[in-house]
Amino acid sequence: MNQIFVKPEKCMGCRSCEIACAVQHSKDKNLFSAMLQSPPPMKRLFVEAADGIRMPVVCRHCEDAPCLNACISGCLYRDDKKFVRRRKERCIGCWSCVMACPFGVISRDKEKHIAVKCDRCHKLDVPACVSACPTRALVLADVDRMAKEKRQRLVLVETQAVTL
Amino acid sequence: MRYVIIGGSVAGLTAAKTIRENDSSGDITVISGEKSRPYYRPLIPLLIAGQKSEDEILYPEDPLEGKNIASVLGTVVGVNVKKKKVLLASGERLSFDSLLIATGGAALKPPIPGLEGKGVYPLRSMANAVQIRDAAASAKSAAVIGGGLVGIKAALALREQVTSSGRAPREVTVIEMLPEILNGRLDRRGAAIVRAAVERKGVTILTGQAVSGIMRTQSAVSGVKVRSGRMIKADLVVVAAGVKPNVAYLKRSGIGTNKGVLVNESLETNIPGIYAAGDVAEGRDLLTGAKAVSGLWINALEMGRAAGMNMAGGNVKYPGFLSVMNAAEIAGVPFISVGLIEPKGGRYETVSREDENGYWMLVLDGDFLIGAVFIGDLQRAGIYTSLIKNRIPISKVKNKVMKRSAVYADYLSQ
Repeated sequence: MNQIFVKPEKCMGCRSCEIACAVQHSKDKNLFSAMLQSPPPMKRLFVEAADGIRMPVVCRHCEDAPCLNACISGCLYRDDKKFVRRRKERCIGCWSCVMACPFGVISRDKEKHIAVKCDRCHKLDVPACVSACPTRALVLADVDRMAKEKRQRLVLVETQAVTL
Repeated sequence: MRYVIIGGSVAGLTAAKTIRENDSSGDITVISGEKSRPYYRPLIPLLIAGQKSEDEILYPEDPLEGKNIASVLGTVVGVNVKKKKVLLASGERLSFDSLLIATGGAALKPPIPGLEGKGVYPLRSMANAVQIRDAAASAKSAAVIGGGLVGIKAALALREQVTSSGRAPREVTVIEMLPEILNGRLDRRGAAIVRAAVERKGVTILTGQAVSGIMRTQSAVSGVKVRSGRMIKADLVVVAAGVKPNVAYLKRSGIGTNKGVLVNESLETNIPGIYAAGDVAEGRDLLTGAKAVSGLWINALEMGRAAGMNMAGGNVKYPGFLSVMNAAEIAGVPFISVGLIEPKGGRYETVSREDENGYWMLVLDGDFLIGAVFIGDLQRAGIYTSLIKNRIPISKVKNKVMKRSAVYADYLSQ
């Protein structure tokens, strides 16, 4: 399975990923009309800065996903690519998934009154955030096909993430 | 192995699925008392005002399909722990090697004179909600006994049902015994904020008032009398006074019960090979260690999974659940509450803030966050849930946590 990996040491905090994400989830999927869309399209990942670290925080599509466990309406499900996705018409805006996500990457669409989360750009080969990253702080890689050493180095961030 | 699961809601279904993932050949039977495909119980209040239809709250697909799991429709009336048999009301007996009790809870019936009879409804099942919806269509006024989450959702739905059809709004009154609604689900300030929003929708809320009787005419309910002597007009009464675990059928079985079925850290009862999970189980609160019955979907799911693993030969410890882990939007006010939100005793530190974005409140016990309430702005609330649930010390980022400005990156920089 392809996973998005984050390399905080390469992130400049330019937020290209955030813009690309919002554009990809806009009506016409281009920057200019996205800028004019009202209400504006929402991003699904967040560039965060903390003491000595800068990084995009993105949905991990966790193996044991807390959001999926918390969903009380049958909205969230795991698709055949193992991505945690929404059946939008099922969302009742109870915000249980917002409460459960340890990464804080599920938001509220206040207009449509539904939860908004990363869909891993399931229709694209490479997610918009990864394509947009100029420094390759976001990379797409298949863990199963990686050399062990490389895997361990990359997985570090993921592992810390999952144990939070 | 013959696995029998009593109860076909979230705890039982999750256990069945988990057992199958860990044991591809064992016989698994789920006994369920409800005819329909499983449904999302937390959504039943949405049926009342027609925001959802019955079909729309069913599981989108049959969770047992294609997993070689048998399902039996029936009511269990007893368990023989020596012969390892479950007795059904139909007279049928099912043998088991490993048993899960996941019979959930039933609506609590407060001892109120006149409660039995037409016009008074509990709100616990899909059938209850449909009855209320249909009966409400001709009701000019309604009363809800109990100001918890279910009661408040029912009251708003009863108010909404008529206003949306264009007739004069129905009089709806909530009667709560305690000084404030949503007791235990929100702190006092938080509950007051939600209460004001509910009242703005036209629902009358009476707190600190006990119901002393249901008033009836010959054929129908006419109102609710409270202890102060006041009479509240109501053509329909919803009882939402809480839930009690369904354990009556186990009384003479030898399986240990208190409020619910008592379980240890493995979710096993006093009888080896017999487990309990979900709203029927009495386990422990993760933060206080006190015995508790949960009543929350996510806890039922987690218990069902842990029990399923152990039934299939695993050795999973379930450390306990958070008794408070609620998210909802009530009368347009979104909120999340997690952990110990009204701690007793002096060693806790609390910090709160109220501004144009809403209200939040955090409770700390030394280096640990133990409680959190968010109203209005819910962004990143899950980070706080994770800190509470996983008992992560916040020492280095305490300043940011206390200002409600912690982000995920903070934990990597620690």
